[in-house]
Amino acid sequence: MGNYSQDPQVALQNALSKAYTRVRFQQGKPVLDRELNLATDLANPQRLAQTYIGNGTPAGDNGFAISALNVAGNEFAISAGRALVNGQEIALAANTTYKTQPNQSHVANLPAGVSNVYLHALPAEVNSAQDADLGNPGDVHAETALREKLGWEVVVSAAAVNAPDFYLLAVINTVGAVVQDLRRLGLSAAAVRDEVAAARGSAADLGTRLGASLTASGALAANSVGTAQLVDGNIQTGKIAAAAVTEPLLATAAVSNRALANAAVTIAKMTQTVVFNGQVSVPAAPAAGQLGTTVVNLLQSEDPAFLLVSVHFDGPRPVLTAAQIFNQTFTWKMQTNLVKPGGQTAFQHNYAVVIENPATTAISVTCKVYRLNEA
Amino acid sequence: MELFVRFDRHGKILSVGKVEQMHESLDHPHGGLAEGDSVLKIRPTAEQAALDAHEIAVQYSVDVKKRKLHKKRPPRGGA
Repeated sequence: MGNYSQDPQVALQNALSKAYTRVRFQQGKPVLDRELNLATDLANPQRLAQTYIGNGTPAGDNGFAISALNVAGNEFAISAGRALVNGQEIALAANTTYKTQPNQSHVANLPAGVSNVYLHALPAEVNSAQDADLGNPGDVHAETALREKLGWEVVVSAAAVNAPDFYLLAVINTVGAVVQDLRRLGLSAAAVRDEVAAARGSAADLGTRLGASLTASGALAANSVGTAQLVDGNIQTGKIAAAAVTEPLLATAAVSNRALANAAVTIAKMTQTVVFNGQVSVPAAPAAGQLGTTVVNLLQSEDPAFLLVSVHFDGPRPVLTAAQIFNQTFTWKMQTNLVKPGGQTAFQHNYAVVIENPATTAISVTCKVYRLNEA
Repeated sequence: MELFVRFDRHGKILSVGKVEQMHESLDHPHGGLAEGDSVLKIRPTAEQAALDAHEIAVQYSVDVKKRKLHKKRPPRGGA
């Protein structure tokens, strides 16, 4: 470090902590080196660029692209160009490599596996010993002010480095010799403006475009997804909520015989009417070999009647042991009469069930009859 | 439930229907009424409702004049 009355970095941080923005010199007062240095440091755009722009590669430039990873040779290529690191521009005039770059103080064999490649900004002071011109040989013949120059080195680190003077260029993987370019390209306000302007859509601004389908929180806006946004065949059964598909949404004739599961259609699901539900007595047969008969009228109609009939033996049921066998038979049949009641001119069909009991004891049977609608 | 009791002119029950539902086109479910037969429609008592139809036919007769069910006396010597 040069011979300063106060370390310039310390003086700058001290001034910033006090919210100082400028240095004002007064007439008749001595000028101190620390005040001159502070004046230039406060005015230096590096500080603002470091804070408000960040590290990156300018638009239209391919500076410090990492490529041609040679794992066996511990080498990769570094392309010429520019980059902004820690608020200062670093320029590389010609392509170079990891092992032949100007500063090689950290060049070593590449770590196995995944590593980060950084561009490290290295500011350094230059004195008259390094640059004779700084000895002012044409007049005072002595070194007065020093200079600060910016050097750089591309370094490889398996561990991440989070510091403003380290610009992440790439991640390399020695397995497969893979290079992933991670430079922040297009680092200029104009490039960002162009990118926003060129973002898909024709609305005047990006907010209007995003607002067409997104809420302020970033969620999809209501009714923003229509049929056109869905890929054909994209909705699977797992994405349909239970009971979400209701009858009005089914197209006419959409449910075919193929789509119905076996045994899926019960009587309750048919269009039907219960025309009779009751228990009736059937008298005993007058004698063995004869029949006791009961006729149960079901309905009168001139229209066709599609009837589902169940006739069920209720009793009497004797109390039997498990070993005893019981078998009692009765028969039933449908009977249709064409009738014209007196006082009317219209004919009617009388639908009835005839139940016949061959036993010499009376029985009770339950008769339940559905009429199915034809249309 | 309603009881439809078919009986002859003497009040003898010929058949009984304990009906939960019946088509509106019908007055009663009994077909083939013979000369002198009638049908009594009543709401059953709890005792009657607990019986099977054939048991009502056996245990009751119809009081033709009052058009009411009348329980028969059990036969001597038990049921």
